[in-house]
Amino acid sequence: MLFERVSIERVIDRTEALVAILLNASTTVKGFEMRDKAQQIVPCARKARLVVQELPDEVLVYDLDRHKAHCLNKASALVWKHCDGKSTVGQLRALLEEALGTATDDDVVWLALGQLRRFHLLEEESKGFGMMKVTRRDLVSKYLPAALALPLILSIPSPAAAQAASCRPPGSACTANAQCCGPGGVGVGFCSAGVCFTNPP
Amino acid sequence: MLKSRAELSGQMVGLTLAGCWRRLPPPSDLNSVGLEEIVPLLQISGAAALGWWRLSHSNLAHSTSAETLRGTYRLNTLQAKITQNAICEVVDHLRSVGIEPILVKGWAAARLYPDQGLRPYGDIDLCVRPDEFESAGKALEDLGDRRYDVDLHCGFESLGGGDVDEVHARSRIADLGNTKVRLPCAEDHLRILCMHFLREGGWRPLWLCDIAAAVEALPEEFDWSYCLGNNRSRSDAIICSIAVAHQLLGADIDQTPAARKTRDLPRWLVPAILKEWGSPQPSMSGRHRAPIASYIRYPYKILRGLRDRWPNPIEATVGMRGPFNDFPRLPFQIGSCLARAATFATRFKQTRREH
Repeated sequence: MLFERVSIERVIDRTEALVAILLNASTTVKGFEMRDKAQQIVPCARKARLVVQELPDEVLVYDLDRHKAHCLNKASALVWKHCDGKSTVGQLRALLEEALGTATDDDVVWLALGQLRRFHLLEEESKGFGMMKVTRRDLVSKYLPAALALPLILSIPSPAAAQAASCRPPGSACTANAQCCGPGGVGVGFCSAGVCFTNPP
Repeated sequence: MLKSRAELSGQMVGLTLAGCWRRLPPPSDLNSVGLEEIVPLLQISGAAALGWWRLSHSNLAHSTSAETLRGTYRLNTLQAKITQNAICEVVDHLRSVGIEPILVKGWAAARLYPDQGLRPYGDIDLCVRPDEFESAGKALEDLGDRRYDVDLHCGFESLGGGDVDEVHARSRIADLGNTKVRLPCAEDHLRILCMHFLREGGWRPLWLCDIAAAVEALPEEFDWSYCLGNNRSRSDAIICSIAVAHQLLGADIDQTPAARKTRDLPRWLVPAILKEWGSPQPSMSGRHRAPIASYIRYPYKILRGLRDRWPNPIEATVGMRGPFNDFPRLPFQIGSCLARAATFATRFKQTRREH
């Protein structure tokens, strides 16, 4: 009996100790992860098949593969510009703080990286990069006074002008139907006698 | 005289674009309600970015309409960079086969604006000597998919005349990216812009902005007698278009022969332009819905087709090489229709014989 009682007490003690160790270990792992995320090296920015135009307050990017135009605000552009495969998230945060003149945290950099990846502006290899999910909504309330400075990439809607880039408007010179815009600037038009028309005969 | 709704909208377009080609556009007293109405018109006519430029210097800089127009400016900026690369490639390629093209309209006009995203240009207008036209066409074919939107012109006949040798002799070189392109001299450039604007019936305000920008950038040694030439009707047409740029967009034309013309413009000219600018479907764009030959198969559409092809007074006058005076334009419009019908009939006969 005595043996059994001792044994049970020991078991309880050991269990308590084990739980304590496990809890401690979990906290340590979590802390390590957080530190690791700040030290994580950012991926490389995509350079190929992009047309980039810098404006005073934003950077315009045209993706020649996807035929999509994007507008990066100052914060996004800064993060993108420094995505060199060498800098860390923490370093980019420091750069952002300097450029925006306000205190930020790593989440802002993660937000920018998430958007850059979504718009295919990071190298393909970055798909294996451990991305921390941060939404703009999460940060807007946190940085309310400076919310406008948060990273933002706008996909530029392209009604008429983009059509002009991919198909020729009616009246333009042409050699094949595929070159001409269809009705409303959508689809394929008709090329007749070297001139583009919207409707086929 | 009472103005139609289209003319009023056209006038609003003119007020919005007044001085928009300048680095610092004049202050604007536009209101947001009127602006919303004309945003689609600015987009149709390719003047959206210029509209944004004007608004960005006004109290409507952050309005919804201004933001919509700014989106087009961004696209134009990217498109300009893409097209500039294409121009360099095409010009270098033609040079490699011994052809020296002259770049007209498009970039040649856009370079006079304060920002490259303000004036859109999709195609590349290149003029070559008539004896090089065929070989230039073949050289462009060699580019395959990279032929881009090159509009190749045989000499300058279709662009408002000018002796090929003289235009080449007077042309000048400009830097574009890593290459150099040949442009017409200021006199030829202005003539080409004016004649193009009128030949197309003046339907795009963008083209009048081009004229205004060119007039305000004229060099001191500008030779008016060479620009206007000896042809009376053509010189009248050029002077009228410059005077209209002053009347509708506020271009500074004090030092030009057009200064005397501003109070003496043909009565029909300005209303015809305003009607085009204010119409959601300008007459020229409707014409390209379907080729006229298609109505042989679908005769019930012929009335609509004919209506779309009825020339506006400006186009008819230029097409018939008529004078820019106060006489009614109906005879020119009928004449223009008949001339085009005759051309169509001749071509149609030839096509049927060939098949």
